[in-house]
Amino acid sequence: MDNHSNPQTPEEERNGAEEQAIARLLRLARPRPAVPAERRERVRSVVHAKWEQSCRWRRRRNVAIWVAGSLAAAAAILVGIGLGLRHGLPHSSGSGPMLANAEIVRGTVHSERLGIIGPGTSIEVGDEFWTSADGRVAIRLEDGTSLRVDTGSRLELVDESVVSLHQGAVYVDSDSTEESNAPVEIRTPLGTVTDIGTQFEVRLKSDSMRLRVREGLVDLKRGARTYRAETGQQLLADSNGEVIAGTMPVHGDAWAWIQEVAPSFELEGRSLQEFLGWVTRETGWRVRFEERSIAAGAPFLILHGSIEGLRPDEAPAAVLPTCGLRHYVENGIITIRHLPGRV
Amino acid sequence: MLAGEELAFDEFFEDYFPRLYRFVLPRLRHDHDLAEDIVQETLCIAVTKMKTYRAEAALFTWLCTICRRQISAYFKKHSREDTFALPEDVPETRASLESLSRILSEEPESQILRDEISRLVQVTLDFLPRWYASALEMKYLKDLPVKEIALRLNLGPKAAESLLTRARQAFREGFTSLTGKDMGFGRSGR
Repeated sequence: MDNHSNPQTPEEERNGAEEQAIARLLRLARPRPAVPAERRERVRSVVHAKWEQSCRWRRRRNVAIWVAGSLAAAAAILVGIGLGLRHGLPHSSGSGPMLANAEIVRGTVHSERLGIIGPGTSIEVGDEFWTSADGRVAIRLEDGTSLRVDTGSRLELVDESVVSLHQGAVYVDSDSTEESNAPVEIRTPLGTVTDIGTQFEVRLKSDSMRLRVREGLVDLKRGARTYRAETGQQLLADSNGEVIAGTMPVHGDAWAWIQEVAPSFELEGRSLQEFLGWVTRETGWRVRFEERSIAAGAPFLILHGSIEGLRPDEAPAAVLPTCGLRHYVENGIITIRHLPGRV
Repeated sequence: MLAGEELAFDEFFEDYFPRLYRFVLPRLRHDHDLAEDIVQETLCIAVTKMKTYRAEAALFTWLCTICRRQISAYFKKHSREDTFALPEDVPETRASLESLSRILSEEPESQILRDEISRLVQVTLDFLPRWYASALEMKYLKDLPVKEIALRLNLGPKAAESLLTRARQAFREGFTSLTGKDMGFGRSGR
């Protein structure tokens, strides 16, 4: 080709060189190996069955919250947790099968049977425990559901599928399950909440119950009426029978207490992508990458070390600089960029 | 898939099963039986938890995240130390690939280096959207003309050209991220 009669622009030259480079790389590589057909069929058969089962179960799921008539001063909120346990549970020294483990404990948490509860304590059917004015606890159920109990709360595991919350507040994160089994069920004298794959908080005050949905969808049924709350919405049910809907942010101070007892993230060997997924889940932030190269590299960048003791909203400041990155948070969005001088 | 559409499941499985299998196999020292088990478990979890996928990362990245956890859980359960790290998993070893720029101008003499490059190219292709990887393979491995690629992908010729351009860009970004090195893409060759 006579380049003088048809000269290429610098961009065309660059594109041409890039294409040649990619062509060369691809030709150097062998074709991607195929998977043997018999393995493929075996896996497909099992996965397809699981998928069908999941679809059937999802169709049967019924989300309902109903609210009873009036609130008594000592009204109890029953938080029903549908454990849907697939395997038998080992019994321990208490009165019933083990249902949960205390993962994180802050301040003082008491139990009648167990005394002071610490990390790793097994909690069984029939156990009642309460958190002091400075106490919070994160509990992991057998099916992986995470419960976080705020200060000044009182809670009892009534049986395998019902938790009774006598006062205070509980936050439920059923998305933290590795596998979805049965739905999480919350029963209250003011209604029943059932959903899967949801983050929400139920808080009982002297004359009202407040439900806040961080992610997911719940229905509140009161008498003949049904009220729906979606992500970012809250419902306030008062003693006069009124239900007031409102909105609330899914990040910020309103959710700060749950970070105090957030289960820690094991950083070692995990990718930046996974780390950011945990941060955003716990903080409610959304991620924005200022450069595409950061987004492209996030799944491949493997982290080392530990963030033990750091809250989810504190962890990025410790982790990102080790990757040559920095961040800022504004209006619920964490923006990630390269450190100055780094590309 | 969430709606129970069979075609959606078929597409999902055909797209992601082989890629996930190739992702897992080297991390399990090429134990095919174990790889089959891990991939099966991963996909079972994925189809059950699909509604929690929020598209913050590519779906394949999400699947690989689940996969890594299954691999770690396996090693932990069998009291085996998961020390087998691939070069792309450990930033420090990316330096060993710094001579890759030579590859674009000369034949690599070392079979080991050639094998490693081949593997990294395959990994990059597996991380691309399926149509990008297919388009690149059709163009540069099978030497198909753009018209033929367009027919096979059910696109018009211009759309196929555009797809190839995007595919090359995605490949460049992915390969550069994987190796930690700018390959010298875009510089004028000699």
